Order: sequence, then C-alpha cells, then structure tokens
Amino acid sequence: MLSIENLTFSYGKQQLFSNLQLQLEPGLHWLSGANGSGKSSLLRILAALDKASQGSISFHQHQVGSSAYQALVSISADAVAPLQDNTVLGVLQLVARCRGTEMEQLLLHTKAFALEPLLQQKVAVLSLGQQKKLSLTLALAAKPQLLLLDEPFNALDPDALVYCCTQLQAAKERGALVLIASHLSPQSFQLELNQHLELKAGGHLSFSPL
Amino acid sequence: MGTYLFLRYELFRQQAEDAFAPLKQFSFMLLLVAGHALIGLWAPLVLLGFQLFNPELGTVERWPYLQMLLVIMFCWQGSIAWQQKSVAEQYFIESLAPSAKVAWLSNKLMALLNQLPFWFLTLPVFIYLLFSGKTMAWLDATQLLLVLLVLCWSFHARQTSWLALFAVFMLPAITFWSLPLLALMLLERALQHHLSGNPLSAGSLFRYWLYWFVGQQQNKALLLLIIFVLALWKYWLVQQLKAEALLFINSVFIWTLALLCYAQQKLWQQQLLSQHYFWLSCCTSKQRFGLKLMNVLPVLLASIWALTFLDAASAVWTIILAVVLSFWPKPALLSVAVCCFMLLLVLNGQGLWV
Repeated sequence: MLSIENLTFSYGKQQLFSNLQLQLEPGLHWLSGANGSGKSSLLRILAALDKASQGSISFHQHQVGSSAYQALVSISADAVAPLQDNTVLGVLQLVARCRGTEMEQLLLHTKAFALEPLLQQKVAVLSLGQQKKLSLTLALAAKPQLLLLDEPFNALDPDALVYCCTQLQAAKERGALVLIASHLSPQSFQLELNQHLELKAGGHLSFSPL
Repeated sequence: MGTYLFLRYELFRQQAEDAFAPLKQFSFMLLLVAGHALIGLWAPLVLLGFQLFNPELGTVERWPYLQMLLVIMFCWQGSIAWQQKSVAEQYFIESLAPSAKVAWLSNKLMALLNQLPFWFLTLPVFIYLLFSGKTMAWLDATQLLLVLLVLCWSFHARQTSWLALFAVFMLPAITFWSLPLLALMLLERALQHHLSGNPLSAGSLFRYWLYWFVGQQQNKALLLLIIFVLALWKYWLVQQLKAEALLFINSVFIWTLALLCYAQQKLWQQQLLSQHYFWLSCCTSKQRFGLKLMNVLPVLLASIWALTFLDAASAVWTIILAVVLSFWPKPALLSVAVCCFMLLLVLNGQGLWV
C-alpha cells in the first residue's frame, strides 16, 4: 500500500500541497487535475526526485528514497527526460545496467512501440511521440510495483495507445500500483480503473465517480 | 551503488569530451596556432604562480596575484556549469540511482570532481599562507579555506561567477576580505530564492536578450574571462615589460577576446535556432533581425575595451576579428582569424625574432 501522510510541498512562495493525506491500494489509479494543480510534482515527490518540506511517504512499509523503495518504483514523465545526447540503445543499456532490468524486456517493448529502427538514433532527434514511447519503455520494462506515469498518452499513435493500455492492465493484474496523472478523461481509454482522484489547487484531493 | 557511481563518472567523462568536440572540426593549422596562443596564455599564468610564491613579496603584495588565481578558478567553475545537463535530464539520471542517498552522494562527488582543478591550484596557496610565517597569514589562510568550503559544498557553480567579479576587482585588500564575499554569496542566494517561481517577463527584445545573457552561466563566465584578461593586461602595463612581452600578451588578449565573442555568438545562435519557429510565429522579420544584431553587443564592448587599453593597430585587429567571428556562422572561418593573427605577428612581431 502507498501511504502519504501530511505531505507539504512548495515552489518558493507558491504552496502546492499542505498536509496532503492519501492511501492507495495496488491497482490502477487515475489522477486528474487542472494545469498547475501539482500532479507532476506529486509524481516526482513519489519517485524521490523532489523532496517534500514535510510529511512522509511509504510503499509496502519502505520509506521514500530508501534503496528498498527505489527498487520498486519507476517513473515516466516529460520532466524526467532520457539523456538527449545518447542513442536510444545507449539509454536502454544504461537503464539495464543501473536498474537491473533485462535487456530482452527493454527490447520487447521497444519493438512493440516501433522504436526498433531507431536504436542507433540520438534521443534528441526523436519526435515527441517517440520520446514518450522510449520513456514508457524504460518505465514498463522494469516491471515495478509502483508505476508512476505523467501524461502517458500524450502524443502516442493509436497502436501505441492500445499497447500502453494493455501493459497497464497487465501491471494491475501483476499486483502493481499504477498511478496515472492526466488531464484527459479516463473514460476515453480501455482501462479498468480502481479509483479516480482529482487534485485541486492547494493540494485538495477528492474522489470522482468512475 | 558502485554501478551507479561508475555510470555517473562515465557521463561526466562523456560531457567533458563533448565540450571539446567542436575543436575536432578545426584544421591542423588552426590547432597549431591555437596551441601557440594557449602557450601565450599560460606564460603569464606561470609568472603569476611565481609571484604568488615569491618570498620577496609580503602577503599584502601577493594579494592581487591570489585574486587573479581565484578568478581563473571561478572561470573554470563557470565553464563546468556550462556543461551541466538540463533539469529534466538530471531528474532522469537521479531516477536511476538505487536510493536518494546515493543520488545525493553522487551529485556531491561529481561536484567535487568538477572542482578538482580548483582545489589543486588553490590548496598550495592555502598551505603556503599557513606556513609562510608572515604576520596574519594564518588569518588569510583561514579565510581562503572558509570561502572555498562554502563555494564547493554549499553553493552551485553558477553563483560564483558574479561573486568573483566583485570579490576580485571591487574589493580592496582588506584584512577581513572574506566577509564581504560571504555576504555577497548569501545575498545572491537569497535573491535567487526570492526570484524562484517568479519568472521575469521580457518586455522588449533587448530585455529578452539581457535575461538570456544573465541567465546563461557560460555568458557570465565569458564576461568574467574577458575582465580577467583585461585585468592581466593592466597588470602587465604597470610592470613595464619589454616590447616583445607586451606584443605577446597583446596577441593573447586579442585571441581570447575574439574567441569569447565567437563562443558567445554561437550560444546566442543556438538559442535562436532552438526557438526558430517560435520567433517566426511572433516576431516580424525586422524584429528577428534585431535579435540577431544583439550579437554585436559583446563586440561593441570588446571594441571599447580594445580602443581604450590597446594601441591603435591592435585595437583595429581586435575589432576585425571580433566582428568576423561574431557574424560568421561556420567554425571553418576561424582560419580567417588565424590569418589575421599571423598577419598581426608579422606586422608587429619583429621584436620576437630579431
């Protein structure tokens, strides 16, 4: 279970969350909210990339930032961009080495996302959709227990969209907790969601009907 | 953890190699002459080192040399900030870390690695001050170490460039010289904290350029380097050197200035290119031309400096080099600069080989 308690976070004078409380069970969770409501920041905090000024986060009893926690989490976000001056293959190898992800898994997703012909290309020359596919490949291949996806469907072509939904459904069946932050309506996608959360200005969370 | 640290080191090495990649495009001849210029640049630095450790000089007399050394090191820091990756890529690198602690540790290690030359050159000064036996030298040494520690551990490289400017050229050689420096560092940090989340809007093209210029660490470093070379020049004038030495330093100054203008112009071009369609969509062709003309600003500054501090012939050559390098988009044209440089040597350099 993902447990967030009394989370407070701000950028300079702008406070995004104040005493945010949230408990999430494994499953597919949709997090919506207006632009700037703090969806992306929340995902980065959950991935230990940003540090909250107050509060605690734990997943399966492991505290955020600990090696046990980090081994369970993967993030795909525009703000977490694969190294632009490396080749696609180079980035895959990098992740395989650091995260212990199997190269076969990475190549499997690469093939499904039609990135295979681009393995020798530099990341910087990929289109927006291709960069999104690469980012999803890196996050999905690790088979994490906590999968954090920031606007995962933006810029994807129809085939990639179907494949992505299938993979998210598979992750749910595997017992993972998938948190999807998106400004789109969840009804547009073939996903069996467990919860739909809405983040409002000031860090207020509410539950929307599915 | 070991794998991750090794990876960070590899990325660091890759970045350092990439920083020098444009040099590979230069011709062999250019490399030869650039090497010559580089040696020219090192000569005064070596002399600077001698003066720093000159036992005949008192501590106070040695301050200008120490200050110059600090500027060089600050420039180095600025150049390292130049190579830093974007925030998004930094997030990606950190997301690969096995734990938040390892990410923090590796960030610190990389910062330390970046600053190795800084420590390498400054620590001997520190040790010398400590063991020189001069009155109050221990106070200077302590202050130096304090500033170094604050710079290296608590502040990012980007804070140092402007500070160095003040610290080295604006502050007098007073006993507690580190106090104003530390105050300035804190002030800049407070200002940055105040400005975070409050983006500055560009109301005019000039303001846009100004924000871009100030926001880019490499620009600050370049500016600082220009000022440093200028200060060195002024110092050599005071020393009443032989004509040959003056010519040599003159050449180095011209070269440095021209290359800095070239580097600044390339950076600005890259900025315009990355936002090409944005500018097409919201600027008239006249305005875009205006943006490109902003390149002339450093050239203008260089020209004023050159006219003020160099003799007429050198000033003219400086301006020609700076203008050519600022307007020409291809690195291959540096060969023209090489020819200008050699012509300068032939015209004025009889003293070197007579």
